[in-house]
Amino acid sequence: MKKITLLALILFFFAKMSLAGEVNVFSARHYDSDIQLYEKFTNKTGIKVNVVSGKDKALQKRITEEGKDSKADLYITADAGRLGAFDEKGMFQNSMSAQIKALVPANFRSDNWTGIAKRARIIYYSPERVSSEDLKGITYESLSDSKWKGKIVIRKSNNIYNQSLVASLIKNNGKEQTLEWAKKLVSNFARNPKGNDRAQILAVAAGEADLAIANTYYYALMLSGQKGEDQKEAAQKVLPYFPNQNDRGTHMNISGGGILKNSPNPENAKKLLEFLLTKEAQQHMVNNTFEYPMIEGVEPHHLIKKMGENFKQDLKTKVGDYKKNQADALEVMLMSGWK
Amino acid sequence: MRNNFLEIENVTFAASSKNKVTNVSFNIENEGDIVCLLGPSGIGKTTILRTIAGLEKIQSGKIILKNKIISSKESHVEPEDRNISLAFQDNSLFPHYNVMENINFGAERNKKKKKGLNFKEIVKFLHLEKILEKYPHEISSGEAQRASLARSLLSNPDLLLLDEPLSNIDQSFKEEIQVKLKQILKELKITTIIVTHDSYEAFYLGNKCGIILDGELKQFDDPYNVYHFPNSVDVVNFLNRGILIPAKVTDENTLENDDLGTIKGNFTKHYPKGSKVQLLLQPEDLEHDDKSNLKLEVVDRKFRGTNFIYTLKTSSDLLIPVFVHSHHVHQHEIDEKFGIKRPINIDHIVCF
Amino acid sequence: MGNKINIWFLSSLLISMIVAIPIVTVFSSFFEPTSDYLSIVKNTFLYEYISNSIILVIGVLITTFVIGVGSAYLVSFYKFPGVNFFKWVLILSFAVPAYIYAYSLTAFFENYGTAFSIMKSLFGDGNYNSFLPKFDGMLGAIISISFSLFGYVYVLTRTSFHYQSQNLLELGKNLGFSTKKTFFNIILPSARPAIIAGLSLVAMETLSDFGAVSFFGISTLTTGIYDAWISFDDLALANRISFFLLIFIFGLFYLENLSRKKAQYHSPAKGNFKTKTLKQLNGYKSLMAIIFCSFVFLASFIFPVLQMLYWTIKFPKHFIDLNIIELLSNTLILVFLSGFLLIFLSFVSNYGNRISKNKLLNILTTFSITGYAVPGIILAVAFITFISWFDENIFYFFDIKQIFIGSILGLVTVYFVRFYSLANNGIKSGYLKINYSIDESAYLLGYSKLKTFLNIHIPYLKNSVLLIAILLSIEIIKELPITLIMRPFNFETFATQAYIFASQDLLEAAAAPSLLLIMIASIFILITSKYMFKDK
Repeated sequence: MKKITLLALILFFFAKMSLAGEVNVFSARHYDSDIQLYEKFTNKTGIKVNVVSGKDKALQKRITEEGKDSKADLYITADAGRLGAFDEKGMFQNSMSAQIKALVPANFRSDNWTGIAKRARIIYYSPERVSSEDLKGITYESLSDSKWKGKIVIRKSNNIYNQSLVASLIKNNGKEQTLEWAKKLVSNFARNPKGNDRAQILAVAAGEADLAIANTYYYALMLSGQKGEDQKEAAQKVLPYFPNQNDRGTHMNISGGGILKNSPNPENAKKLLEFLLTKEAQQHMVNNTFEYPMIEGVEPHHLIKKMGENFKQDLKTKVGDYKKNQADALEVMLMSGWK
Repeated sequence: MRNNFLEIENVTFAASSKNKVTNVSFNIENEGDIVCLLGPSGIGKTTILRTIAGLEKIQSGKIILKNKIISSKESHVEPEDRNISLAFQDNSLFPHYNVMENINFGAERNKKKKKGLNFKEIVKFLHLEKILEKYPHEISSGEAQRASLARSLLSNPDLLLLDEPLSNIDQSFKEEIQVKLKQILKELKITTIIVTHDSYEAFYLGNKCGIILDGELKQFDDPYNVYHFPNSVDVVNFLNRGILIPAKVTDENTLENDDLGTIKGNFTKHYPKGSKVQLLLQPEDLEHDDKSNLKLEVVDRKFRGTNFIYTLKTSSDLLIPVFVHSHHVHQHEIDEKFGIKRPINIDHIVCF
Repeated sequence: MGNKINIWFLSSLLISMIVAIPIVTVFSSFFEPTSDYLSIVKNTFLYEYISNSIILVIGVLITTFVIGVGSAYLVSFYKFPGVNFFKWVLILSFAVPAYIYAYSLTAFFENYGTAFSIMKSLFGDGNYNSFLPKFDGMLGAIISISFSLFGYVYVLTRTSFHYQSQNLLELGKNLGFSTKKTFFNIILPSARPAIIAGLSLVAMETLSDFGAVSFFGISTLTTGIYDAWISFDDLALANRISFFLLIFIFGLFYLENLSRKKAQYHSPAKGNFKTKTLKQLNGYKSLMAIIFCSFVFLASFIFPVLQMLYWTIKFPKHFIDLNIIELLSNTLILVFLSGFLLIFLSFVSNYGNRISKNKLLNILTTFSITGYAVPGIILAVAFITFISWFDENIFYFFDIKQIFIGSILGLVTVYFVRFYSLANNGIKSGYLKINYSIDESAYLLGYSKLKTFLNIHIPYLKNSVLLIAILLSIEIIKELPITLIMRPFNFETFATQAYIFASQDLLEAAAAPSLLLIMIASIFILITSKYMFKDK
């Protein structure tokens, strides 16, 4: 009986997998809005979308281990460094259609993967305690200035957004100089790094620190009231500031994905990727996740727009290069004592 | 074709190397016979029962039940296929069933045959009516033993093995149960092997008794013979009733002891004149006689209800047991003198 | 003795081999070269991993000792209002996994969190953030893990106290000991094996914890393995770290086994058991007892439930969006399949052991219960590694990867490895209570082996099996890392759903699945409590 049940289950899952007209997405993004997008895609094309969600590296591990038997068609994650590293292992296929290439700026894609949404990693400050004069011309680099001693909060060094940020600094300034910078930055920390990006912004609101470094969408999320009234009010006590406006621009990162080398349904995967880059899908995405759209002609959420329109994005540093320096970045941070 | 009901042929019973009974042979001739195995505790009597029941395997010899080999080095009939029932000494009732359910487990094997006693009769016979609804942990060990016995009886086995079946039962109850047990076993013709360390029980219940000492079966015979004609000093010592006193063979029918003088009787074995022997003197061999000039000192007196056992001291410090009926008018206190009738006449003389 | 190789031996061998897969996999790649990360880890991480793990374990042990033994002592020896209520509600903490506790703790105490909102609504605007305690980082992890695990110490200690004889206490009184002295010199030492067994379990679970420590961002040996294996893609390094962890854990495992054996000597035979007279507490002391027990109950169970409930109500959208039926059926499918498989095979192994009396079999069985000591995360990834290797090198003519990876079957297999010892030990301790002469009696009454099993063993073990089934269910409902890694497409349970939301900074969305998880586990616990404290 037990065997029959198991067998039935196995067959059931095989059957499910081998259905024609489906695409299997391994996604490290767990937004409900993404699921809604997939549903829209299915309604439009009849292609069923199966999602395996999990932590990015766990998903990568599973795809790698499964090898040629992998059912995964599309891998979606946040952070360009991760995409680049996975690509370097030869896990993606060269599949960026002309359509995608036309839509996505070359800076935010490669031949094997593409960004689907953007975010900026910026500075938040307490207007009560920091004047705009102090902030004028502030750069990531100048955060090491001793005038910020005991005033900065940022999350841990194991966080991938920090790794990409520091990777971009290494790319621009070199490893040694970045190490010096990191050491000084660490001495400016208001507390031992802990919590997520939202917690950094809240720490500034609560008076624990004057400056926080965090991604853009966290702030808008709080402002939207989705985290409750209290956090909305807290976010209102904090203001965003886009650094490096006078040189290369603010550090940008992406959510993105690529079609896997062993994808059983590459055509469907391509269709889904292209769908995610349509205006309709982009609009849905940015309205819900507070990211920046990947394509032209889509407006970000009004709360994001309010944070600052037309700021200078760092287009000089290719997001695809983050992967090259992430290992060094981690080393630099650890050597500087960044927990 | 063999005709014995059960045959044990040169079997070495061993559960562990410690208690091992080697090279045992005995037969139960007829269906319905009762055999008692007597011996001190820890000698391996239980192992014998377990082996016959099939719970232990044998490395040498054969066990044959109803002309069928059930144990040998080569073949082994599983215990559940033997129709042999064993009542363990310690409580082996199923703890999660009440007494009634436990006893009814015995009915499994007897389902088709429906022979022997039914449930009600057994319960009545063993006085179990009051505890039927109770669970094993709620009853005394004597009650558990009776319940266990009831379960075994209900299964109406070819061969019933009882391991110290009455050891935990109150003395007052014990004799009654012994009587009834014997009745039932006889009536139902249940062939039984009983293991006990109580020689009274063995002599009463058994058609045959086996004495197990020092890892071997010393003697296997009628109870009468075991008592009266023990075949070794060890058996005498184990039964611990009579004593051995030094004596000298003086004639065909007489011996001489320094303290007691001449003793007459029929020798069971021939000894040449003048041989020095150990004479077995049982308590009933000596007769009380106040008029006798052979006076011995009383050192102990055991009142047994129906009788007294006096322990007397001879001039050479031998301690001799003497049996006296309890209605005997004279009660001899300790330190008093006790007359022994002379000449001493013993029906059969056993010497070593 | 007897025939060495039979069906029981072979099935036990198979079970042992399956359970041994992850450990063998971990050690087999021990000598493989590792990447550059080794030097980084050696220089910076390893010390931190080990020291964090030690701090965490010590912190959790102290906390669970105080609240576990303290509450067990109060409810076992004293009478005060509500004592019978506390006696069983304290075990409800088993329903709250450490990671959900961590979510609640963060949600409540973070800047502008629930505590802030409460203060604000009570006293108006104010900067409450600065004086509200921040239970995060190491402190948060210690608290979360302690409150979710102290139940082990509580239950084992309570059971030991329960069987502690009245004589022992009277002895203390006779000797003129004070209450304090009686506690420290008599009660505590005689319950020591049980307490150590409980603490060892707690320590093992703490070292295996992934959900809570990764949520608080603490680098322990477990997260270190995860990072090395999954992030750095360095299996050999992961194995080196696993090695350290396994040394710790097997030490504890040994300690726990040893203590449990000792604990058995301390529980007297049924017959000798005499009900203790409980001391009535009055006035101030009674109040203190109530406060202590209430605190433990509120902190361990009511607090996370209320926090999750508050969010579920405050953000109803997430609750409405949740596909409860699917989550429930997925969770239950796993519970039933794994539970059935685990109990069935535990029976096979134990029964085989019992009737074949094979020493080698015994050793195999002992070996096969080590799975519980290995963190789930190691088990899952090692299992995938093994299946891939097996698929490529041995079983290449048929695609077994498809069957085992990302399937219910694979998931259930790894659960099996993880929880086999729980099931096996449960059945085993049940079997230990059945004297072997019971089996023999049954054979002698003409019951075949099968009939003995069905008519004697099964009825006898009915309650233990039910208890084990429920304990397994609770564990499986709460299990996170294995489910996360092994589950099939589109297959979410309450645990994975909660984790995924939480890892996406959507704690308020994680509330609904967390709440449901706690509710279901609580129902199971309520059924169990009947057996757990059955005073025979």
